[in-house]
Amino acid sequence: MVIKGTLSKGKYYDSVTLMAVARKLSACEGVLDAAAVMGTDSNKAILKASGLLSGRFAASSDADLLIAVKASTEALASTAMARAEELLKAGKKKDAGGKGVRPRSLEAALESLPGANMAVISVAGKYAADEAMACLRRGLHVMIFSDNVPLEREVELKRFGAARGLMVMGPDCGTAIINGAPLAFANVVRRGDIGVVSAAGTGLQEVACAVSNAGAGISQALGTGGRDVKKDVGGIMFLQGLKALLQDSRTKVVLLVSKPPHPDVVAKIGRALRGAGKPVVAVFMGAEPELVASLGAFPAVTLEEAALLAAGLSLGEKPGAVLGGLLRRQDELAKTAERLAAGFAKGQRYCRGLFCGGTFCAEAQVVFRRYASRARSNAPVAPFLDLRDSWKSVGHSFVDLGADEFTQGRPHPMIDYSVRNRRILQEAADPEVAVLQLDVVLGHGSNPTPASDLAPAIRDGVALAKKAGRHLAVVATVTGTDLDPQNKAGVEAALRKAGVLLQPSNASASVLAGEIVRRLGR
Amino acid sequence: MSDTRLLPGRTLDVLVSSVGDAVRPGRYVLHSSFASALNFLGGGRLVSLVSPRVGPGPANVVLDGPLPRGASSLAVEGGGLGLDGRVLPLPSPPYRSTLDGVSPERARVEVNLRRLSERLPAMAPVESLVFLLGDGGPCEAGGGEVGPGRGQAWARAARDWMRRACGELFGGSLAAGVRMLRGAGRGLTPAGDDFLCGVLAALDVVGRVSGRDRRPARGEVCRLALGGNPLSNAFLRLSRDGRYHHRHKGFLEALMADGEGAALRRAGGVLGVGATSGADWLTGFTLSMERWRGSWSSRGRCPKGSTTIPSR
Repeated sequence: MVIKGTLSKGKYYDSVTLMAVARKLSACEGVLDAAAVMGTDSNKAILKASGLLSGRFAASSDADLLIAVKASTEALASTAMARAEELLKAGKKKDAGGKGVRPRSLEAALESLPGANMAVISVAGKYAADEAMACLRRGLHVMIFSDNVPLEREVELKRFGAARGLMVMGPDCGTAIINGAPLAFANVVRRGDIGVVSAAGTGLQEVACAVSNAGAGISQALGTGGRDVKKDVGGIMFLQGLKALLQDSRTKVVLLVSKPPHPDVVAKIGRALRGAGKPVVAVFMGAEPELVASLGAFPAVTLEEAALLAAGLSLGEKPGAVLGGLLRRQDELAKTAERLAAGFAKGQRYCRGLFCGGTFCAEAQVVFRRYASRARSNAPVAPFLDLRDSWKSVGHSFVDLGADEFTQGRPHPMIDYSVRNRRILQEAADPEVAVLQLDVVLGHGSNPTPASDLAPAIRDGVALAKKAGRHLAVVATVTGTDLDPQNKAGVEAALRKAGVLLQPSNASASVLAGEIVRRLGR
Repeated sequence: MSDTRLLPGRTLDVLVSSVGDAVRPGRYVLHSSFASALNFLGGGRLVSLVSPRVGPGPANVVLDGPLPRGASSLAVEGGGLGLDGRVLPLPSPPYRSTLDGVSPERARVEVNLRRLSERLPAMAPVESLVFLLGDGGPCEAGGGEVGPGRGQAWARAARDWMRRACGELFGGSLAAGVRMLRGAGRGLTPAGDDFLCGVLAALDVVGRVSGRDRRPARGEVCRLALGGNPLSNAFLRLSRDGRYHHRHKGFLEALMADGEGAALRRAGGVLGVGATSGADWLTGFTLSMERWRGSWSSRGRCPKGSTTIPSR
């Protein structure tokens, strides 16, 4: 056993960096323990108690940084200390703001990139509308990632943009793919001839990935922000995006994604689709398929169904074949559920869905209606199904962890899994819970190491239930493509190893969860 | 849009949108530089230039624009901020960081605190000191610790240390407890210091709810907690004086005068401060409010084991 330590006089790193360094050092080969702490008397006492106190630390003061590593060999300890130095340097670089051109004004940005015709805006919500208007006045399309933009400003911006033929994507537009470039939270997908307009962020990611994984591709994927299809905004950008795709020569199939739009917006979409000249697939989650069919579009009930229909149309397949494949899978899921249902303890009967994606939470509720009439949510698809306390599940509960109450002052749960990991253990400790449903979203902007961040919590949750004599079924889907930076196959393998019942889509995961609890309710 | 042309020939692309009420005239030297904050110290006082993401605080100057990363010193004088030869006007009135406008309701505090105690273990990061809240929650129910550092000697020793420190603080010697917590744990401003800032905030709230002056106790805790970390010292002094960052202030106001939903939402905002700083602060606050319930709660409602604030 070797203990190595370094003392850095008067060096400051933020808490996030120090914790990340300690965590990463602990994961190094041969390292049994590690700490990165300030050199206070209390911390030296803790280091001594844990066998990590190095003689070098005697001269430290409260303002000094101590790094200590306990490793199995001298060489591995030295390697870990070198790694610590690298990690701290990387942390400093991040704090300093990184390299490259960093224009300090819109004018400077336009000078540094002549010919730019689009701006992505991610500033505090109260400033976003002013910045967006400044961009529109300069003839730029805008994507507003920021949320908390007042509704009246959104309407003002969209009317201004529409009058000039400019797209205003957002506010609260988390994803888009423009000319093959993924923006914000977006996946790396094949290019192709399917154009998407979506008022649902993770909905856009799910359909884009499913299209790509089915062998077709995306021409453009335009986000509008969820409020666009409501009465007040009137679908200004949803319609503008739809018209743009209908005119786009590289787009052969159009795919529309949204929660049910306001009836006025539905009527406008219907008018826009008259004589479209291209096949259009639409999924308005929770709406009756007849409504979509009446517009002259191919109706889909789930995101996956919509994506596969669009991919089928793009590749020349018959819609009936696509739907037949999905129905056969449902039959198989029912058999799987029958087999699994025998393993649960008496009293286990509820499903708890913990979602990073708001659209996934909504879709799960829509699918789950087939199996149980009362599934509650903090983002309910019907108002009477409101989960009163987002932090505590009741009965069947579907929780959108991207909702304001969970994200205020925190990274989005697609990046930071800590809130969900904690909740997994909370749900696993509930003797009435039989099924956990999760989503994992890959792509740019999302958690770079989803498997190592999520799998331990799942394993702990399953073990917690097992210790209490119960079986916990964890059903999940990974939204992404093989081109995404996280290594989709590797993530899926790690989750399977942790005991997860992986499904090819969120809808399929919801079906499996529903089929299981239906059998437990008998 | 305001005019940003302050000096002839030089266009500044930053504006000050908020200045804290503890920002005092004087000269300050750069102490530490982070992505969203530049900390300057002078005469034991702190001034932080921060991005809007960090927001208003007693010692914060919020800049609407990029932080001046090359700056090595600054001066505050005559309603302006002097920075590398440039002068930025400071807005008036300053951000008010104290709780003066709040009328606390004891019953509301009781209800909100109970809900917070129940929910905090699920809301806070596992790496934080939240385990001190009754050592309950799903992870302990499972019989082991969770998260990174599981089963490791340093994490175990740190937990033991914190437990013993709390035992002293609330049931033994206040001075010994504060000294054990001072500078203990992870973080640039170590977890124990954040916890103690929460303790000081609890003393502030206890004083307001009970109508008894708790400033001597706050002064004593702060005196014992000061050490050799200038950043921690600055935060402890601000807490002693009842001056709060806007997220902490919003939480305390909601706890004392708003519904439980609002208090929990505001607690969520505090949890977003730092990696675990907000959670450690909330743990210190909540635990102090619970353990010293005898000093502020209505008689007959005090749970078994609750105590009053010791004089020393």
